[in-house]
Amino acid sequence: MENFVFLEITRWIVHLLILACILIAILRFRTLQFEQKIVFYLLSITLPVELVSVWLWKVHINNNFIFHFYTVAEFLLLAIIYRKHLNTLIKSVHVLAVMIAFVLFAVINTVFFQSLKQFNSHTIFVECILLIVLAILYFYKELRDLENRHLERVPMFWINASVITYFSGSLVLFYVANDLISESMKTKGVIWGTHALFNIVHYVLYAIALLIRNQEKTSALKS
Amino acid sequence: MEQNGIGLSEILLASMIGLFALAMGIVLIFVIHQRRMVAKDLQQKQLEHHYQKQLLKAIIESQEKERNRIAHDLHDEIGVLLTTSRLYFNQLSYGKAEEHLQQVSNKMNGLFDEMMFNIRRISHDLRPVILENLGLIEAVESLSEKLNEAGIQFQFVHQLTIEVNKDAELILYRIIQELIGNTLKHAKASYIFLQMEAQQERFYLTYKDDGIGFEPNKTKNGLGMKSIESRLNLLDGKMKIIKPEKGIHLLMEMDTHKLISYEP
Repeated sequence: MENFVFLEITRWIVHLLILACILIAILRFRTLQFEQKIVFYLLSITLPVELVSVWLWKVHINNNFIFHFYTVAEFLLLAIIYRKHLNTLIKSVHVLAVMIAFVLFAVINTVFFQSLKQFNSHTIFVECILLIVLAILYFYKELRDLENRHLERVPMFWINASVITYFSGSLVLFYVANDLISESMKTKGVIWGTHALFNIVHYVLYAIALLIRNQEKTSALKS
Repeated sequence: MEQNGIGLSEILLASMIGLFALAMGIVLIFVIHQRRMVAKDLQQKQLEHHYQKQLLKAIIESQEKERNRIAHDLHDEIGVLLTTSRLYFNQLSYGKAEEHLQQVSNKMNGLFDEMMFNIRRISHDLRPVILENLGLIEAVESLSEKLNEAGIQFQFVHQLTIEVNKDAELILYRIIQELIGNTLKHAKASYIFLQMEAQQERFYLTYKDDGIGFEPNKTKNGLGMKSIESRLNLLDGKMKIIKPEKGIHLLMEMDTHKLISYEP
């Protein structure tokens, strides 16, 4: 019971954080950079998805179908950001090919393996792996090019940190998510509560990315 | 079952937290490493900037020195000869004895010859005629003859299979002149060895003497070496200072394509 209270509290914190991110983005929309705008669009989808899924869960209606669509939308939006930021490292067309392949994989998984009633763990697991790879490539590119002297002023750094930490932490959970159904409520509470903590870090980092005003992209020689 | 359930959750939790911590660690290591690299990069760029400034200073100083030399040549030699010629010219007037006029005319002719010789020498210094007409090898061989006449044994070996562009030839010639000048001024050498060879896509210039040698670190900042480096830079060349037992040993390496298609 305690675990579920904790889970409920963390869930509300997550919802409030997403809402805060959206409000920050709306207030600063004109000055937002490309990646910040994409994160805003993502969060604008995430909030209703979270609220509807929680409501469906509370009224005992299977909410798994939502994630089949949300996973694809989330991956595509984040991949769009990486496509732009990794264009000096990977050809845009290759990232585009990965995006198309992922959509096909998600559709095949839904049609043949994990129906809309089941949690799409395969698709989310692949999404996690792909995003972790893209995040590591971004770090590699940053070290190679040294374009940004002060990382804390670069929204993409915070977005990337958010992506790599959240999707790494959740990777195994998503992979075994369907096997957790048979677990006790206490176990599920602890596991999903931990996931909710990762979620808080995820959205706090997004919030920082949206709050940053000045992006520095100059030669390291310039002070 | 319960036992198994708790076991799974523990493994799952441990791997979730472990991977999360690992990702956090990666971010942290990345930030630290990136800051170090940026600091190093900045330091490197500042050093390069300083070096470029030093080179520029050396070029300006060398140009200034050259202008001063030309100014002195013009003032001390041509200027004096012109003044003297004017004095003689003033003596040319009607009513003077024919013999006197003939003497003045002869002296003026001598002065004009000297002036023409000096002007030719100054212009030759600015752009050697032999280099212009016969090319780098002939120009260096001419230098070699002069040095041998002056009692310095100059050995010149060349194997050039490429046609060096005229402007690049002048740069190479100036480098050689500067090297020989340094040897004559400071090295107290009796033997100089110069080799130029093109191998595949690389051009190598080797210079040796048997003088007293020099301290590379100290000399690196000297005007002569800076001037050589600045000229070598124009050809995207590299210089290696080899420390022999006696004298100096320099090895310069350039891209043959740059020598063929050099544009100032």
